[in-house]
Amino acid sequence: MGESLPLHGIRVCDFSWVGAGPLTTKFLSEHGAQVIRIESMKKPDELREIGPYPDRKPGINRSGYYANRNSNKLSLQLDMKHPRAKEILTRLIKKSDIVCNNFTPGVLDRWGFGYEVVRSIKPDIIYVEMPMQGSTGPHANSVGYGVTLNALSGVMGLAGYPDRLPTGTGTNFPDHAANPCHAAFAIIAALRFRRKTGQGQRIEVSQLESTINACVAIPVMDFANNGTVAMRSGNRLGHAAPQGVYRCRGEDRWLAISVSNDAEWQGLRRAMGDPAWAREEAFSTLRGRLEHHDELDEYLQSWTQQQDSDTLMQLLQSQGVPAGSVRDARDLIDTDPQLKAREHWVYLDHPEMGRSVYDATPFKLSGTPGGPRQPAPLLGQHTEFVCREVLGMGGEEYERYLESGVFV
Amino acid sequence: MHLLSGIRVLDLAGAAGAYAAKLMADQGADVIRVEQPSELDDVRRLPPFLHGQVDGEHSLNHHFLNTNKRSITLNLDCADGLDLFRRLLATAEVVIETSPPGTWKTRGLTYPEAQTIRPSLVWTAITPFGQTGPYAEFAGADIVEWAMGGLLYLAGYPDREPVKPYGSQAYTVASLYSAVATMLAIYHAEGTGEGQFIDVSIQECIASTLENASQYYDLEGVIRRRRGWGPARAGIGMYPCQDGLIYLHAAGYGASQGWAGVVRWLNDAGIEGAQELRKPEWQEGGFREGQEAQEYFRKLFTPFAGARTKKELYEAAQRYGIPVCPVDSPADILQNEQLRARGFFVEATGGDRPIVYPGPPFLSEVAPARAPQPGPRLGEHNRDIYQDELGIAEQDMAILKAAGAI
Repeated sequence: MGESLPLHGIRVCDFSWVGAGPLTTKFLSEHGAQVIRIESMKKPDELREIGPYPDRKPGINRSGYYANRNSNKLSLQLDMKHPRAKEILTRLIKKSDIVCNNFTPGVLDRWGFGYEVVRSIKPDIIYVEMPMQGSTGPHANSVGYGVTLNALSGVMGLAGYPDRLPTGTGTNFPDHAANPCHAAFAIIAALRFRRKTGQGQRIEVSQLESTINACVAIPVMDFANNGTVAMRSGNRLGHAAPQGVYRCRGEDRWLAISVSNDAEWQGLRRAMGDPAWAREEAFSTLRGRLEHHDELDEYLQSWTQQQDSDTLMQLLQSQGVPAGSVRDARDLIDTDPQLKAREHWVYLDHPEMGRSVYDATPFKLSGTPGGPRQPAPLLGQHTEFVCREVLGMGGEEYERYLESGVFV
Repeated sequence: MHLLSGIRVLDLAGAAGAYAAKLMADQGADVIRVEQPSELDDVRRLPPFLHGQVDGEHSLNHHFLNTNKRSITLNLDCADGLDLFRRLLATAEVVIETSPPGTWKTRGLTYPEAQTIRPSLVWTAITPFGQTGPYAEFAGADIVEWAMGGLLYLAGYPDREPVKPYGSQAYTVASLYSAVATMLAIYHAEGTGEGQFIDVSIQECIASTLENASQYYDLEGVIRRRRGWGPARAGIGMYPCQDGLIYLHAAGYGASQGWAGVVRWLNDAGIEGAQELRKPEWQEGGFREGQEAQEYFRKLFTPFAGARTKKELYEAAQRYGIPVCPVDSPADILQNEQLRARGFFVEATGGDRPIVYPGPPFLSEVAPARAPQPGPRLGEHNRDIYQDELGIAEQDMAILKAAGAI
C-alpha cells in the first residue's frame, strides 16, 4: 500500500516538536514519506508530557495529544549534545530529502547543523525552518505557542463577544491549520521544484506571517487600505442575518444557523410554521434582518430552546437553510452519522496506549488514499531500525554507539 | 522559475476554496478563474469593499483571494459552455471547485470523463460535508461547518453561547487542507501520469483541528469545554495593561522554561509577594492549576501588568524566555516592528490605486513568490484564453456571447 503513495521514497529527518512542526510532517508521513523524528529523553517533546492519557495514567509514551500528530512516524532517540550524535546525524542527512524543525532560530546551528552545513552534506536537501516570527528581525528569538500567535496575529483580539474580553479560538489555532498546511504545501512544492531543477532549498515559514496571511488578511487590508478597524462581532457576519448560535433543549446544546439570502429566509419561515412575527415587514429583506438582528435572535431562540438541535437541523436543512448542531467531541466520535459514514475516526493499536483514536486525513484522494496506519512511536522505538536499516550499520557498530550513551 | 511554474489550474472555487488556488497562483501556477457570466460569485460579492466602492470589482476578498489569477467568463450550465470547458481541461493540470455534490452530474461532465480528456488531471472538490454520507446534500455556511466540526464548542465564555472567530475561518481551514491535498496529487501525477479526484469535507477539516479534544474524550471520557481566554492555571491568562491587553502563556509543561522565567522576572522586578513563587510547590503544574494558586498569581500579576505598556511587557518577557504577546488589533499589526523590519507588507499597483497586501506565508530563497497582482476584472482574459490560445474566431466568439456561454 505505502509504495503507491505520493511521497513513497521520500525521507524526512524531523526535528520538529510540539504543535505546528509535527502536524506538518504528519501530512508527509500519512502520504508515504518515511518521517524519522529525532527525540531525546533529555528534553522530550512537551506534548509527550501533556494529557490526555489512557486510564489518566501519565507516561512518556502515553499521551493522546502527542499520538494523534505523530502517526506513521519513526522515533530515533539521540542526545544531540553527545559528541557522537554528529556522526549519526550526518549519515542520516546524507540519506534524507528533507530536514524540518520548528525551534527558535539558531538551535540547529548550535548543534552544528545549520543550513550551510546540511547543504554541504546533502546538496539538494530541502531544509525547512518554522520559527515563530522568522529568522531575522528584532523579535526573531521570541518564544511562543499557537495561542500567543493568536494574540500577536490579531486572531484572538477579533474573536469573541463585542461586549467582553476577547476569547480567541479556545485552541492553539495556528498550529492546527495555517502553519502546518503552509509548511507542508511549501515542502511538496519544493520537492516538485527539485524534481524539475535538481535544486534543493531552504524554506522559512514565519509562523506569524503565515497566520496573518491565512487568517486575518482581510481585516488587515481593510485597515491598511480603508482605515477601517474591524471589531469582534460574536457569531455575526456582515452579510448574513439571522446568523447565530441558538440555545436548544438539553444541557449546553446549541444550533448554528446562517441565513444569507431571501430564499433561505423563506425556508426558515416555512420550517417555523410561518409565525406572525416572521411575517413582519422589517424582516422581509436582508438589510432589514441585519438592522433588527437582536430582535430576530430573541424570536429565534424562543423557537429553538425547547427543541432538540439535531431535529431542528434536519428540519431546517429540509427547507434549504444552512444549519448545524454545535458538536462536542462525544457527538463527533460517538454519534455524528456523517463522520461515521466517512470513516473519519481511525483506531490504531499502540503498544502502551492500547486502541486509541486518530483523525483520518480530512481529504480523500481517490487514487492514493493515505492516512494513519501506524500509531505514534514510543520514544526511541526505531533507534536500532534506523541505524541498521536506514544507515546500514552492522550489529557491532550499533552496539558500540549504544554503549557510548548517544541514544539517550 | 517559480515553485509551481508550468501548472495550470482551473479555479471554479467560491469563498470556501479560493485561498487554495491563491496559494498556487502566488507560487507561479497559471490559475484561471472560471466565472459565471450572469451572476457574481460570493468572493466578488462579499464585504468589505475597497475604498467604499461596492461592486464586483472592489471586494477585498476578491483582491486578496484572487491575486495573480486570470479571469474568464464561462457558463457551465449550457452545452456550448461545457464544450469549451472540455477544451480547457485538455490544457490543465488541476481543477479546484466548490459546487454542491451532484452539480457536475447534472451538467453532464463527471471526473471519469474529465480524466479521459486529461488522464493526469487532479480534481479537487471542496464541499461542506464531502461527496458521500447522509449530510452530503446539506446546505453549508462557514459557521455551520465550524459548529459541526467541533471547534465552535471549544471557544467562548462558559456562561454564554459558544463563539466563532472573525471572518470565515472554516473556509480558510478547508482551503489550506485542500492546498496540501492538491500538491500531494500534483506531485503524484507528475511522477506517474495518474490523476485523481480529491474529496474534501470542510467538516472533517475542522474536526482535525480540535487539538486534543477528541483524544480527551476517547482516552479519559472527558469532554473539553470552552473556558474563556484559556486554561485555568497560574501563569496563563489575559491581562489588561496600560494601553491594551497582553496574553501570558507560561505553560510550564515538560521541559518548557516559561514558568521559571516568570518567577525570575517578577522577583527581579522586586514585586511584593513574588518570592512566594520560588517555593517548591509552585514549580508543579498541578499546584498552579489550583484555585488558590490562580488567585494568588492573578492578584500579583494584575497590578504589575497594569502599570506597564504592551511593548514593555512583550520585550521584557522575551528577555526572560517567556511566551507573552500583545493582543493586537489589525491597526497594531500594520505597525508591528518585526513585520516592518522584514518588509512583510507590500504595495501592489495595477488597480485604480495601490493596494497594501500582507506578504507571503513562507519564503523560498531560490524561487520567491510572485508579487501580488490584484484580482482580475471579470472576464479580463477572455480574449487571451479563448481567441489567442484556443483559437476561437472573432465571429464564433460573438455567437458564444450571444448564446450566453461566455
